[in-house]
Amino acid sequence: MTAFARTQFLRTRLTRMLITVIAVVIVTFVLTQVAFTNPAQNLAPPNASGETIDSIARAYGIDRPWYEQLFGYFVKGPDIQGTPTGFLNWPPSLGYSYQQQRPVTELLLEKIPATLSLAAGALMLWVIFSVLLGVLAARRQGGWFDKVTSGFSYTFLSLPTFVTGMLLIYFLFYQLSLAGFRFFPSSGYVPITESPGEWARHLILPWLTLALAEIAIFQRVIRSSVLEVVNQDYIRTAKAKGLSDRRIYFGHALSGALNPVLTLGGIELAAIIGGAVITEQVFGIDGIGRLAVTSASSGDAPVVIGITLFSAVVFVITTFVVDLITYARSARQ
Amino acid sequence: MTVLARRDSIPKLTGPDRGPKDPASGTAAARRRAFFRDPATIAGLALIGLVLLGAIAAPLVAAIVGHGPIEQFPDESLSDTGLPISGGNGFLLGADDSGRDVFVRTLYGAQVSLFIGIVSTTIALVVGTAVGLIAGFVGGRTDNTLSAFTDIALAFPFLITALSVVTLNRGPQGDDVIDPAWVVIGIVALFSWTYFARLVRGLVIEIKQRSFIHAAIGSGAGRTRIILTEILPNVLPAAIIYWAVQLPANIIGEASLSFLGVGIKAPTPSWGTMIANAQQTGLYQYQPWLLLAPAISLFITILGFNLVSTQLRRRFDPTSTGK
Amino acid sequence: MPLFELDAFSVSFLDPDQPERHQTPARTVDSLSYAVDEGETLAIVGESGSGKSVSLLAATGLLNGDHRTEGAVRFRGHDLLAATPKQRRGILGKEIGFVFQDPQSNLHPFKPVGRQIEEVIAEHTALKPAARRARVLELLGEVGIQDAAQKAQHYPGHLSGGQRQRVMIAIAIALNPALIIADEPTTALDVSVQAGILGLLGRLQREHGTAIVFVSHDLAVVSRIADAIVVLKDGRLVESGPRDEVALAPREPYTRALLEASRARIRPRVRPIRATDAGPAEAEPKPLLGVRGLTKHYRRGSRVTPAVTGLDFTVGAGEIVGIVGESGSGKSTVGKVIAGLQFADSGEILLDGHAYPTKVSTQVPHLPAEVRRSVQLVFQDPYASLNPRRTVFQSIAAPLEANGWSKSSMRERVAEVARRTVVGDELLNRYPVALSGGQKQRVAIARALALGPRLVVADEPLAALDVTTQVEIIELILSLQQSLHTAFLFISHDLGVVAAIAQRVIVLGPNGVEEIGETEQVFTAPRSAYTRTLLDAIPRLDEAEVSTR
Repeated sequence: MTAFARTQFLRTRLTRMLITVIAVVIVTFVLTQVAFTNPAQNLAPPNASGETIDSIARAYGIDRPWYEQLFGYFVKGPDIQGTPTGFLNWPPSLGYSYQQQRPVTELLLEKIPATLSLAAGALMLWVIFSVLLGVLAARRQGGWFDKVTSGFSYTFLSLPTFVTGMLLIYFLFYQLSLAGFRFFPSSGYVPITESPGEWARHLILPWLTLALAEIAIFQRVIRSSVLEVVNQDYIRTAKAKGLSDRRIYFGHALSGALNPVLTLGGIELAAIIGGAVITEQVFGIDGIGRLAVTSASSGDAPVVIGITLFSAVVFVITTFVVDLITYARSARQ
Repeated sequence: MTVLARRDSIPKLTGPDRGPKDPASGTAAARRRAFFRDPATIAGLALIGLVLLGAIAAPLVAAIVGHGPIEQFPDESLSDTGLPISGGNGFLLGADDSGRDVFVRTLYGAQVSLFIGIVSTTIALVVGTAVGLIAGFVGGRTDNTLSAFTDIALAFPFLITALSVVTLNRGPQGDDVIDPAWVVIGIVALFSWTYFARLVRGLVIEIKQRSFIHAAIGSGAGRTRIILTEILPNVLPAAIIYWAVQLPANIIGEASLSFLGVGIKAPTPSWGTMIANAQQTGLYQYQPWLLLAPAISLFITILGFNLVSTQLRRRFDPTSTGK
Repeated sequence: MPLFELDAFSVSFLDPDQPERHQTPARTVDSLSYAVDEGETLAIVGESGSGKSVSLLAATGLLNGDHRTEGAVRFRGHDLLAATPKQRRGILGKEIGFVFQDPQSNLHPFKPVGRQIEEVIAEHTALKPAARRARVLELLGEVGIQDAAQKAQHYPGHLSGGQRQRVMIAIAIALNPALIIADEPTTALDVSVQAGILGLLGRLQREHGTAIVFVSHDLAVVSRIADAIVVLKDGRLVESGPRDEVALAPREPYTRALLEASRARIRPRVRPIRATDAGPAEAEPKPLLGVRGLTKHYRRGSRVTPAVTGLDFTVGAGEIVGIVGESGSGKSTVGKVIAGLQFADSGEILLDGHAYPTKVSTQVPHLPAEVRRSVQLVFQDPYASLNPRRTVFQSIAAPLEANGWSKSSMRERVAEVARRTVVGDELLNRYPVALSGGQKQRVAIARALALGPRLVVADEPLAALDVTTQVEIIELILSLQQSLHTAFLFISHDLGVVAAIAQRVIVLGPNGVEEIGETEQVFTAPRSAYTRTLLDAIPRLDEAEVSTR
């Protein structure tokens, strides 16, 4: 792999990422322009005169033509309520929320810790259990452990996230509470800075909700990927060396099986945000997902664009990192 | 996991159809026999049959018990304190907070789920296969452009974008411009065609390398002939199997949208809406069927399709490893 | 007591979807018995499907897939089949070393080769890491890898095929095993590399007194190194005995056929073709195909690698010309360009008076219909060359369909070419899955002939076939040349095969054309040193036998 090819690879990938993010912003902007009712109308008191509405529109910079507004997003827009807008400010600004009367960046920063806590915990459970269950199931294909994990996998693959969440609440919170065991709270979020114990206690059910379906999928992906690799010649070589099962499966097979797992893992990781929307809704966690739902239904365009941008960036970066790893691995071949 | 892709099943683009890989695979007929004999297939088909039966029998049941899916019977089904009963009085699974029959609504919910799932997946199959064929076969700039589109489409957060798209359908008086079912179908198809396109594109690129395509080019066959007679028959089985794989994911997609209140709207019976209603009112603590009836229905529907599609892939999909 | 012994050993594969007790599957290996003594080399010879590899893999517990074994396998008198997994692990890698066919797929792609060697030492000894690494370097030196310290850090993908196989051998001998099982260790390698690997195995055996079980499909290869030979067919033992008995004076007809097949491939073509031909090829004023200055580069991103530069040659009407070269010599590229599937960057190609367009492009050139019709292709891999969704009839008819033939004339034409290529009527309605490798290749040839081409480009058409099938296809091509007066451009890595079929030979080396000449001349008096190394590398049954010709 020449240094030139490496720079070439990086350059095309980075350009593509940038184009993707810009395209996402443009499409979302146009979409919200078309779909949402004029925010000035919403902000004005009922029966307000046309003049009042116009002056509100001016105050929020939405009297300008749409392309100017869109352009302002990428460079520097007008100040709204004393908040600069546009990416080219420092710190970059994502605009101003009509409904909440606050800068979008501030809103996002406030909600991110909850979503991050949710996603990070689920991710940990996801990775650990998928690998463990997947490899162990592959080791004895068709054995009892394989059958049990396969049943587990089918079950949670067939339950939408919100159903899993609701059932967990019904059985683990409600029924256990009736039985006198009140450990799991049904909803809410406690920042880790306030009380780490409470933080974890409140997040256990959401973590499970988010992770179970992912484990169900990934356990199977890893299993079949390992099974495929197990029939490869180089695993036979490992056996011919007299290596132990543990070394063969966790050393040789897993590392050989990693490519498809990584690729899918990258997409799935980004999809956790999608799952977070639902999980936050079910468990009343005040994170990015809930903010998205309330903003979209109330027509708060700057917030919707900001969140879409945020998740597109997360998606693009995770897939990029995964691609980098696969690329580095393929360069060895 | 509410996003539409079934990533456990993004196909591996290796392993051309080289006939039986082990002594056990046998002929097509033998594979068909093995498929229909597998207990997983039988269980899956039984579950799907049950759901189909429910969907077809819904009007019949409604006529027998005398409760329409959106009719309210507060007198018979709500207690003095206004809480819904959880059974009896002609209400097999009790009633919801407005006094509607949960059992009848659950049966009607099957119609909604199946209709939206099947139509949206089929649209995605047709669009995705066409795009994949063109991108894979033509290659070069066309392929790059189409791949860039797919990349961008993938970068959108499904639910968040769907939330905004749905507001497009809001008329001046806050009513729906077109039937929300079609909006949901559109959104779900929009977010799932890319997977068919990727699958087909990958397969086409792989098949294009094989020498029978060179032989066809060498004998003077044109592009259209090669795509339609040499390539399409080789990718279609995999695409159709993938349809069965994607279908349950799309049913989940519809239910999730409805749960968030942007899909099928009450009073139309959709399982997602019913669960959302159970959550919002909190009444499932007194009337568990509010939650359990649609939850179990969703579960058996998706499980049925998952079982069958996994078996289909295992037995017939040349891109699957057969495990 | 023999070192390693199979005693009435049978293997049968099971259907994983059926309960085992209900199955009485056919035996893939049937009551096989043989034995190796310390320090001895035993060769196991058979065609694919003869069970030669399966028997050894099953005996050592390395066979994948559900299967059942019967009989006994003894190593130093201990039954391997009855051993616990732990006991077996203690023997594998330590007392029995393995070298497999394709070193590319048999080494882990994501681990440096040094670590892959070190691993087996770590598993079976208590050596400290530093001592292990020293031993790795020592081993790499012993198997003839220069620059051991640096090469140990490489991933298999960065080594050549020969180097990779040397690494496999280093793994096999790391702990001085008493027995090495070598399963077709040279089949996946170029001929010039094969000789080195065979030499290395022989030297190691002499130095360490290791016993070797050497599995091969090629009687010629094994007769070089074996003390004793076992011949298998369909899972059964056909003949066994000391090397000289089996290889030089076989008793069984099957062994004789194998031997004949091995010989046919290294006997230069001496048939008097011109007598039955329409006329001598070079006497024609204009050859059928004339190529001058053919040049083609491959571009991948910014990297440009030359595939062929400035190639000149001709093919006369009804003539068979062979192109020989090792992998990477650009021989397949020449085939694709001549067949009209790729543009040449530059150069002049005239087929029957029609010039090919040249262009720097990855696209498929647009050729006039009559040129397309007069040159057709046959490919290496019979699995990939037929559309799995078309019946044999549909496959043969496809070129006719593309050229707008009517249904009835199509049927007639297919019947005609099927008869000529000995594709039986009963095969016409089958799908490719139901055909053997040889049958598939016949169908592919029939399809190539359907449009009545004047030139057929055959790119390694025998590489995927068994030796006996190879002979059949060679005879078919020769008979087609005689009866239809079709010219062939026959591309192969195998000098022996080309010798048996071509009238003239083009030898492509890594740096372009090494030699062009009459087959006999190239074989008996090669002008280029490169040709000579290729010739020397061909395994022969008996040196004396060849030199007398």
